[in-house]
Amino acid sequence: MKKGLIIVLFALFACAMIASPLTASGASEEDSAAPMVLIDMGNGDTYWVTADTNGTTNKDVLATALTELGMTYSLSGKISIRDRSDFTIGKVKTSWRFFESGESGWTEKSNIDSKYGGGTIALGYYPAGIVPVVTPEHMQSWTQARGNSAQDGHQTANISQSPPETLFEKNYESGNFVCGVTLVADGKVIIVTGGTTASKLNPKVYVYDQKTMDEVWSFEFPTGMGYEIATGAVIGNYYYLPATNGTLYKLSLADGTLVGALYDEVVDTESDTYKVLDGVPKNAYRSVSPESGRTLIGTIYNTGPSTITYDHGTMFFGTSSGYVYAVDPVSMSVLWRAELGGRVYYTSVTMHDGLLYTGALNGKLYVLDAVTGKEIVSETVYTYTTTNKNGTFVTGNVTTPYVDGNRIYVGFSDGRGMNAIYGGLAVYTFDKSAKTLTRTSYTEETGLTGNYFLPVKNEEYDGVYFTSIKVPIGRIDAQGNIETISAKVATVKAAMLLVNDDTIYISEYQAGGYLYAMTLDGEFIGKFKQPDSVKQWAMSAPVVTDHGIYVGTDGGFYAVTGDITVANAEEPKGFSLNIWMIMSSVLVIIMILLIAFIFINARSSNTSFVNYVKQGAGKFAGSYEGSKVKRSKRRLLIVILAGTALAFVMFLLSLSFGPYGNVSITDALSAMVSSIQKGGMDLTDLESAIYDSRLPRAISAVAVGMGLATAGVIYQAVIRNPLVDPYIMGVSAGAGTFAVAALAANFTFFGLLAGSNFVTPILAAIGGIIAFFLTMLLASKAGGSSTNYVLGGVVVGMAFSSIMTIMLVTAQSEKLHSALTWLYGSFANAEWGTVWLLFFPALFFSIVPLFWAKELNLVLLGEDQAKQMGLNVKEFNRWMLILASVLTAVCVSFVGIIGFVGLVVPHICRMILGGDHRLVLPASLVMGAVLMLFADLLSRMVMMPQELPVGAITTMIGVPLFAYLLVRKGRMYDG
Amino acid sequence: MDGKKAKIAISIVLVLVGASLAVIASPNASFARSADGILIDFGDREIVYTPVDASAHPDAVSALEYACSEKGYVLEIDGSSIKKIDSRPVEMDSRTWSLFVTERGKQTWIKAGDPSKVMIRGYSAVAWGLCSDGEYPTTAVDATGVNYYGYPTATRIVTLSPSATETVVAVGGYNAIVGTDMYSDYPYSIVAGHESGRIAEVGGYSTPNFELVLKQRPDLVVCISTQATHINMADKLREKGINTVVSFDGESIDTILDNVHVIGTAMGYDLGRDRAINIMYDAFDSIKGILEVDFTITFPRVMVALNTVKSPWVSGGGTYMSDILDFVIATNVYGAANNWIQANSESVFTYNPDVIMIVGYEGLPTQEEYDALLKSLPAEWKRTTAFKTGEIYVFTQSSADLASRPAPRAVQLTELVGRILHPDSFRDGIEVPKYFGNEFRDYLTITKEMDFS
Repeated sequence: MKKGLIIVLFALFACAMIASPLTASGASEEDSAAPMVLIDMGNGDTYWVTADTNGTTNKDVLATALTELGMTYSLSGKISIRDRSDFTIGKVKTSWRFFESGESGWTEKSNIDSKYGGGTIALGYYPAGIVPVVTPEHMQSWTQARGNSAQDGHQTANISQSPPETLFEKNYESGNFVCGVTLVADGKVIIVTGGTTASKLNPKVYVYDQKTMDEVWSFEFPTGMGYEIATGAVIGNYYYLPATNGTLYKLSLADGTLVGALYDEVVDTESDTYKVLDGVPKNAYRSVSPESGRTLIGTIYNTGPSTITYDHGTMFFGTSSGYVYAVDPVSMSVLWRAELGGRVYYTSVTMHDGLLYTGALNGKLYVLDAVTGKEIVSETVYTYTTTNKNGTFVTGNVTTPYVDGNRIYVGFSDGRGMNAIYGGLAVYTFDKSAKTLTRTSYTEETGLTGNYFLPVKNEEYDGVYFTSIKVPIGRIDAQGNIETISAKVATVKAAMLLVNDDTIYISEYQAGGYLYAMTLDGEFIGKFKQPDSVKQWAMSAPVVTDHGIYVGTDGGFYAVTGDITVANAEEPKGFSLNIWMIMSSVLVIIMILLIAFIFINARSSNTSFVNYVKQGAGKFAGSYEGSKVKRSKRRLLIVILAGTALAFVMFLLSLSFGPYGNVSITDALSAMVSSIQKGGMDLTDLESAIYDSRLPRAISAVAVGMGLATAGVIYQAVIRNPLVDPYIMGVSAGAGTFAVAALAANFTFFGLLAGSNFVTPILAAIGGIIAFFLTMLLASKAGGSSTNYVLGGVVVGMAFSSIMTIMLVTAQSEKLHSALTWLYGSFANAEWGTVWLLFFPALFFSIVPLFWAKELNLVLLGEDQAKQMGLNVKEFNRWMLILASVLTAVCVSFVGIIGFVGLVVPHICRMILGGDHRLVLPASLVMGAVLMLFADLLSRMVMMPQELPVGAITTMIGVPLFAYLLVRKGRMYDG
Repeated sequence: MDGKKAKIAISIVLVLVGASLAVIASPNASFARSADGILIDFGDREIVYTPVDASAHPDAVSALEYACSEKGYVLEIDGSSIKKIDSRPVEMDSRTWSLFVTERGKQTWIKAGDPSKVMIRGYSAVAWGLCSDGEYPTTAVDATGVNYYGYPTATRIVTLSPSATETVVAVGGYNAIVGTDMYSDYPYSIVAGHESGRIAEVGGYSTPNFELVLKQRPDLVVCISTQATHINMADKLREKGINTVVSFDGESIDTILDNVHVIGTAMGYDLGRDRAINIMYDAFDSIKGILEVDFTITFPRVMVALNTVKSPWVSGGGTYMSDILDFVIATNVYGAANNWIQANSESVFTYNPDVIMIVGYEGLPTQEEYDALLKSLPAEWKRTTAFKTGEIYVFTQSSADLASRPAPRAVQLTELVGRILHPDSFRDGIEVPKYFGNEFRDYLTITKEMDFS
């Protein structure tokens, strides 16, 4: 079986390898010996494919590669690939350029018709002077915030399957905020640290070697306003850094030399624009003032250029001063500048099909012409009006749009920066010819959303995943349907990353939180805890590469090697709720069907159920014949063994499931054992969930299930009425009245119990017993027949109920909650302090009637006959009723009134086993426990994390079973 | 045999007669009134109501023209589309004027078609609202769909819940209160009124007494919609011709403001109403302003519990408390659940709140009692960050009332909770202790005096 599985997996793996010769944005770097072909889309997307060395010309080799990649292309005349061909923005002319790889990196060649030299070659969509970032040595890169100009956040990586470990962690002391996205290029990892004018350290770029994480170079720059949250870009051999001091720096990727810079002197007059600084950075910079001549709409805490998007040879980015710029990265000159109606920050410009899409802090969504910067159309998505003594302000914000065809997904907020409160999601349709934006869906039910989407388009889903305040991780499709994918992580502020089209990486916001790996269905398959040295809030998107996973936090930066989905020893791997719920339901259904099947077979072969089972067992154990006594003993043994096994399984299941997380039975057992060994001290979370929460509940459920079922059997036998349940003697009403008095009216039994933790259970027990004795008194005065008991109980019960109703109606509303919890019954508050007080009396009191089963059988024959058999019926009945009532009072006092079990379990057992109490009593004992355990499990799982009243659940489970048996065996009650 | 048939026939007839009489005899009264005037809603609960003679100005446009001339507003109109009323919207305000109507018996606004064809008497309420897309004016009908505009100024008011009493007092109606439910104990003058006999008690919170209410000869009765008995009472009072208003379920800051508007308007206390609303707006703006300028602010994760048992009752989403947490930049860890729920014990540490607020402890604890309370917390609670960092707060006495009564004092609760969660943002060194009672105002500055007593 196992071998078969391995073969299948191996075959699947092999197929996957064959079927995917291509990788986007990077392939494994180790298999680069063979000559390769690179297609570099010039927007961050790169594709590698093995070169067809049989080709004679470079054109042949490229054509084969493009065909293999499944791209539309034309290599004759002007080259066009995926509709990308010559494109001009100002003086920047982008076209497909041909490169050959050599000792000194890429060399541009003029002609693709030349003979193929057998080496690695590339087609890159760049203007003159820019070469592809990725090389045969470093085939993988992450050159802009979301990987490409479409802002999709997709990455391909071959992650080593070893358990995860921290490769690198660094706390940058008081300049420690790492808020922007880590970039990866040329085997280097680039991070930017720094935040706020309050910090003693200047912000700084650190560049590390990807394999060793040794520092290669660093670059310090003057502080501006706010955190360095914008992300730069790597283009060709240069790294471009947007800084909050208003400067855009151009640095050599190889050694960090400052090559050029632009400075936004912002913004009083129309002539203002980005200025080129003379080589050396100024020592002091004027912060870009938010209070310039123009009215700048939107609250931000940062200044300067925002995150850079690179495509078509041009850098596009918004600024705090309310512009979108197009800048030539080669000459560092401004190609055009577009003024939008609000600040443009916290957002990136998205490029799609030659057009730019961006939001601004006036709440508008803009579509711009990438060539000229002219506005094609804009539309208000959301605005928020604030009136204060300075006047009325209308703000809003639109997050980075994701564009799919003519569909545009945007998030929006009230535009008040980090302290925004209102927000939501919208979907627009863009009609290119009519130049209109039409809103097709809109919702505020998500609250604030993250700044970037994660688009997913596959056979099962077409839409975008998002993070938000009210739906922690969700997704929205083109029709605007919102689904919650997971609420397990409370807050995620960092953008999510999709790796290999199937795994989403999520950096939790919570300080000391986790880096998570999640499937597209929301199943968490891995997690890695923030190292302590960098423990802080995390807002930087994770980046996953072959060599490591990079995560920035407000406390520094860390890198992880290995696969976080490989379980490490101390973290028990969670199981999916659904699979386990389905499995256990199936198990229960199978058991019920099995019992029903045996039962029906037994009927058709005209033998009793027990005989049938016995025959089967007899066949199994060799034939046997025995006296009646022996047979009964065997029956008893079977009932006890089967029932105990069933109860044991239920017990284990109820330890395995819970809101903390569902674990396997073995994990649950080992956690239970280890927590008991530790004596309940210094537990892990899982141990605590099992030891503190689940174990006392399970024990209480077993106790109450046994107790109520046994009490039910006794009452039904003694009173000889099938409708009787343990509450018939008024016990529940008496206990309830006293419990409500304690919970809702602060009754402390005249001060005797003031301050005690056991006020409610003790009072409930007292109330139950008082009610019972009143009933006894009434019944015996009336003659002591079984009907007298029923009538007495009903009347006493009503008397107490009326008092309880009055107390409930007049109680303060907040106190009603606790009272209701008690009245409907719940194991949710079962704890070690009381569990043995409940368990031992319930267990031992339930065992007592087992010794009197014969007498109970006699009572059923009727009083006269029983008397003839030498039984003092009245005496016997009285003691049995006292026992059953005390038992009921004990059960009720700790967990409240749980209906149905005491009424129906005895009947179910009787229908299956017949009327002999020697069988019915032990069977009821275990069946009661099983039903109660199952009901308790459901009561905490169905509406997690909400608790439901267990009494309602027992009824829901019990009714179908009871109905079935009633239909089949109801005739036993006739006459 | 014939005898049996006759018996069957008689039985059927009796059953049919009984059933049909039941239907016929029941009063089928609807209290939804027609609009007698027109509303102009400038947003943020700045609403102007003008009674209109429907025979002279039957449609929404001519009624608006009349209302503007009455109030002295300049009306810029283009056909039947309204450009500006009283020079609003101002520059940069992207909101526009639209016409909204509430159909009779309904409670929601719908956007009307051609305004010149909207006859105001055909609806429960008609309003011109300055709204952005998807936004609606403040409701013009109470929780039972009855238009509350145009009642005369109330001089004898009976309130049926503590939150209603507080709201009436907040808009300045203390002297007009002649009866309350027996749990209304704020402001303290109400207690004094009960003691002196000036203010009658007319029943319990969920059990108001119809006769006792009538006995006060009220001209306005204020009920709340969360109690079925109150809605029932409202029907009976309206049958008697007594003006009655039913406030909304105070599940958020917004509905509390709505309730102030609804109750204040029904009382005819327009000035007091606007004053109370402005005080509340100012307070909320000040608190928000303080939190907004704090760059270093974080989102604490909070659990609000009614009791300290293993599986406590906690405030889920859709509660007034949860909305306040949202407002002061915090996350309710049970925000995904709806209303008050009993939370599972494991979830207490799985959801791991940074701060726990316990609302409704009996009496004011001493330090020893507080320490004992912490010590006695269930093991699950002790695993939370809140316990480990000592961030467990106990609201008692009147501070606990704040949390259970959705009324104007919500502003004080907001500041109190804001200070607990973001002590550094307020920069005045005031530290809210871990447990507090009636003296909670000592820890407030912005809303210290905004107790509407």
